[in-house]
Amino acid sequence: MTGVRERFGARRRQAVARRSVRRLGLPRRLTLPALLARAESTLGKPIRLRTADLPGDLSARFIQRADHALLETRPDLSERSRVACVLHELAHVFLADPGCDHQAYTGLLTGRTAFTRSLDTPHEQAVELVADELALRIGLLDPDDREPGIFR
Amino acid sequence: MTLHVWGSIPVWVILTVLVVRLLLVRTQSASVTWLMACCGFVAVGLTINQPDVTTFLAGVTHVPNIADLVGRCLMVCGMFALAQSVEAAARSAKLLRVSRIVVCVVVLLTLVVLFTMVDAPTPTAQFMTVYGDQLPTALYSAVEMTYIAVVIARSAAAVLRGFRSGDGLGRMYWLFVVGAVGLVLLAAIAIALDAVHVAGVDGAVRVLSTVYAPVFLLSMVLLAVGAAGGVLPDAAREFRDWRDTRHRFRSLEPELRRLEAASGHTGLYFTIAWQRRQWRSRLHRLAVEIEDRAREAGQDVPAAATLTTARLRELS
Repeated sequence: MTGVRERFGARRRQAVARRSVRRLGLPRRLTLPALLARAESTLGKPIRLRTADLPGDLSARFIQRADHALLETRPDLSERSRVACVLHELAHVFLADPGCDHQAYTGLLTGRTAFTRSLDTPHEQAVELVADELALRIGLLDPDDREPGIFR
Repeated sequence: MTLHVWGSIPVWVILTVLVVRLLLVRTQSASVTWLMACCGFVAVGLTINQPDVTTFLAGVTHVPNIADLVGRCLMVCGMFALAQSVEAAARSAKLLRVSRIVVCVVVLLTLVVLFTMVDAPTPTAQFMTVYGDQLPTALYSAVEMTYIAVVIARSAAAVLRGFRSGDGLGRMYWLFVVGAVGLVLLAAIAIALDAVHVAGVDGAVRVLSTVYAPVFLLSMVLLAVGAAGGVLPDAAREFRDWRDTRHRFRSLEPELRRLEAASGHTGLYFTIAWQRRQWRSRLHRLAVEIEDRAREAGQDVPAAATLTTARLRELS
């Protein structure tokens, strides 16, 4: 019975993530730069991507400053993981998260608010599901040899 | 078997392949989903036109030639689905285009109204041959054929644009274009046939009827093979990828469990009730979480979990 309830809960969380992305009104297909531009427009300021040595086992963080935002990822990530991290932070932006979930890290930041890619809270897990939906939109999961097209 | 049933065979073949692919792999693009709907509507719409079905439906509904109306309405719906399939392939697809839906509904309503005006008291699978000398019957057929011609011509034009813009459409798509030209020609023949039938020019009716059958059959075969040229190679590759991915799940899931234990952290992978159609998302999540846990545990990422693709490099 517990297993059934868990499966049902998991399906519901995925459905909520799908709905969140659908509500953004994004094109069915878009590129990562186009998604980034959309996030900048949602945020109202430019987002600069860069790699940086991050404390502990943090894989990414998002720092908001007055006139721009910084999206930092660790330099030793694989490309897949890096893009997944970027999508996670952009998911926070699209969900209009008001601040940082991770008080432990705030002392390390020069900005006002921050998000990190960690899955230690239910909210972070929900954000990760939204990031997975965004991965589908930008074609991150598409195979190499197939472009979408007529009858394909 | 009637001519239309013969014409439905290539469409049934494509539909069967698409259904088998969907049952196994569970993933397909919106364009293929609409193509599947198109094949379903067209195959049933053509198959319905045979004596047994005609008699059965007439007995059930007490409308002698309801099968013909249903068949034509299904053909119109099939063409609508074809237009949607082509639209869905565009990067910024607008599938809920009001004008397209309104036109389809108007065509369907017009068919129903004109059908009620035809004096056709006896069920027949040769509706146009038997009742084609009436003006409402000619208009009824002409409305359907015009809609088919317009949709198929627009679809062929979209394929041609795809060739010009280098969308990587294979040579088989040319068969679709030739088949579409054949279907437009067929629509012209059908409308001319309707006109001469009403006018009572029997010689012209005989000549046009003779041309109608081969053009119809050839067009259906070319359209089906042309559409299959896009779908089938892709279906085969998708099946191969799905099978390889299942092997990866079997080998990488124990790795993730081991790394979760070593790092003392868990992710989402084992909490998600994965559906079969989500195999690509599942593989992505597996790869990402293995890397996260390996880093946290201070271990190397297993080589099999490194999924670098050319597309990924493009994104980066």
